[in-house]
Amino acid sequence: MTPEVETPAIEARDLARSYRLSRGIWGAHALVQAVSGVSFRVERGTVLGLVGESGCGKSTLARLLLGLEPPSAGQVLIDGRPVAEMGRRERARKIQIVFQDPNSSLNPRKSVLSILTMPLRVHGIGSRHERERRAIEILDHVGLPKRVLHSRPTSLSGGQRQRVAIARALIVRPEILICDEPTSALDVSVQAQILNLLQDLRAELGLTYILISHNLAVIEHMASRVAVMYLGRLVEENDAANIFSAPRHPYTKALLESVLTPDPTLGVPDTELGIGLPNPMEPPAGCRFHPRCPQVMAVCSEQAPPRSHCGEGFVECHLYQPSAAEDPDAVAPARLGEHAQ
Amino acid sequence: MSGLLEVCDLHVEIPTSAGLLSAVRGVSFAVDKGEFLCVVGESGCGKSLTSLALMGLLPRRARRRAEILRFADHDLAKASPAQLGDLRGDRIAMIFQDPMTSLNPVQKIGGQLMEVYLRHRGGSRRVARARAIELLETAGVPAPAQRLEQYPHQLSGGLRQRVMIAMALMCEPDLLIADEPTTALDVTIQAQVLSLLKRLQRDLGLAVILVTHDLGVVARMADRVIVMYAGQIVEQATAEELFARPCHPYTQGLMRCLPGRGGAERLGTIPGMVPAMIGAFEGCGFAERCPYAVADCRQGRKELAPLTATHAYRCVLPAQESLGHLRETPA
Repeated sequence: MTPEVETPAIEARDLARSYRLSRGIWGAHALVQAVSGVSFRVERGTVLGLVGESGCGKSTLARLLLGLEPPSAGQVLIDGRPVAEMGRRERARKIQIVFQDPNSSLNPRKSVLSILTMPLRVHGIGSRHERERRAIEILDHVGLPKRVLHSRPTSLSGGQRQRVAIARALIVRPEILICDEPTSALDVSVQAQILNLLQDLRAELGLTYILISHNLAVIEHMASRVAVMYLGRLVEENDAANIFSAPRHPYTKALLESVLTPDPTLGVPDTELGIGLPNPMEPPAGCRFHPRCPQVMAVCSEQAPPRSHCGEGFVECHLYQPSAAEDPDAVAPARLGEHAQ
Repeated sequence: MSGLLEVCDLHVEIPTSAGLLSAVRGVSFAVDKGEFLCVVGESGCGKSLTSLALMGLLPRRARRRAEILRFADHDLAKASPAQLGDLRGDRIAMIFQDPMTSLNPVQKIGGQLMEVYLRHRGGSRRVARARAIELLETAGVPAPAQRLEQYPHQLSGGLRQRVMIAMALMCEPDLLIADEPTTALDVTIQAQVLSLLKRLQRDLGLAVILVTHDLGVVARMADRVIVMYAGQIVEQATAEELFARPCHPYTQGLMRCLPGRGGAERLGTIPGMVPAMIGAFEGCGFAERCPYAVADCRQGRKELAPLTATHAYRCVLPAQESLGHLRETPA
């Protein structure tokens, strides 16, 4: 551990990624900003929860962090070193990913042993015997018996398959693990087992997680910090406790209100949001959230909201900009009062 | 009054290479007019096959038998395919999990909506078109007239599910069966679609059977709940009763698994796996995974035991007083 300010395990600096889409043979190319201006730091041993609706750029961000594709602007630093300067193998030993659906991420024709030792073979680690020993060791870590080593994924249950996927990601002993909806394809009882496993592994192996999920109950259970993404931008980032007790951005509030806690005395919440995401190819001017925002003001459609710092994090919303509204103090607390009811 | 739908001792069996798979094993329940019933359980518990069996939409190999399978004054068990076809889409409608696979990708939305109406009510295309626009509006689809000219791929997931709901309502059904209708949707959209379903149930006096694995959805939507495990109903109760006093160890286990407020504490889990359900079956299906199992649990047939007029559970254990002791996590 360095005595000065600790370098974060992973840091994103002003990351952006755009894609060119062609509109037919004669049409002009359209530019889609999948991710823009994303910055965050994840300290060692913590969990960053990344939330947002489908199509908001979460998975593109994951690909950028993994170095699977280069950013259009900005950079990713792992242990303070730019990912762009690292080779493929070095990168793979630092950061790994677990995908949503273990049915499609594991080769059904290979044995678990072959799946687990593949990364070691690619990296040229150990002898055949040594690799098998490490496979058994990692199986033990993820709570699978040694006998599954010679099974194929098809003969395992969904939860066991996800354990194999986690084991495969961890066998090269990475420091950072990106979990992209790790439990969305699983039953609730299995989801609980996998979440417990991820918590245990983090403690045992000192891992740093970036947990991507649309399930806020999962995020609340796991994350130390939470970043909320909307149409390619982070609109709010803060300590998990802060986000869940005092959400600021209207989008974050709507997401939290949409969580259905098992309480039969409550009905279905009305989030007052319009339907669906706007077209990412033509993002709305000003604040990207303004067409759906229940607290929209005139300024929102004209100017992109600047970052307002609050506590350990920030929010990008005009409501928290003292100069924007005539009397912002009157607007924001009144709305907060309504939500508290 | 007698219920709208009555199911008594429904069995679904599927022959497999390993033997006869008893996927649904003696399910009985009734749904009243205007009632909201949730069927909850994990994958493989038979909840989807139960709803498909009602509609006569089981896979071809599957065999269905039931003592009673009655909808209003129709005997579904004896109905011919043509009679079932008349009921489906008209009096009983169904919504599936993934609207992209249940909508025809190469037909415009309008044609698909109107087809249902023309099939059951006949009449002119103009009337059917007006009805389609009206229902898209009811389902909260913006610019409904333009949508009729669009293809499913041009709509977002939330809109597609609304189109499915509109289609299900074209002929004002009495019963709507929704199988995981919001599982593929984002949380904010899920809330919108669910509140739409709830509103339609209230306003149109529609009976709804909602099949889901999400206890949060169950708590917010259901009048009554059926919990299924290994092809059987293990507990049934009103939503209030179930969440205040879950009695079956499986129901209790499910509730302990839910993540939420409480941060880093460990979640409860249900160890083990669902039994294979192949061949004959003795005792309680949950016995192998149950923390309270005793020798008696593994033999004989366990019946649903009533606790109150509306609450019953299939377990030899006496009912617990409250969930309080479950919330304490062992250190």
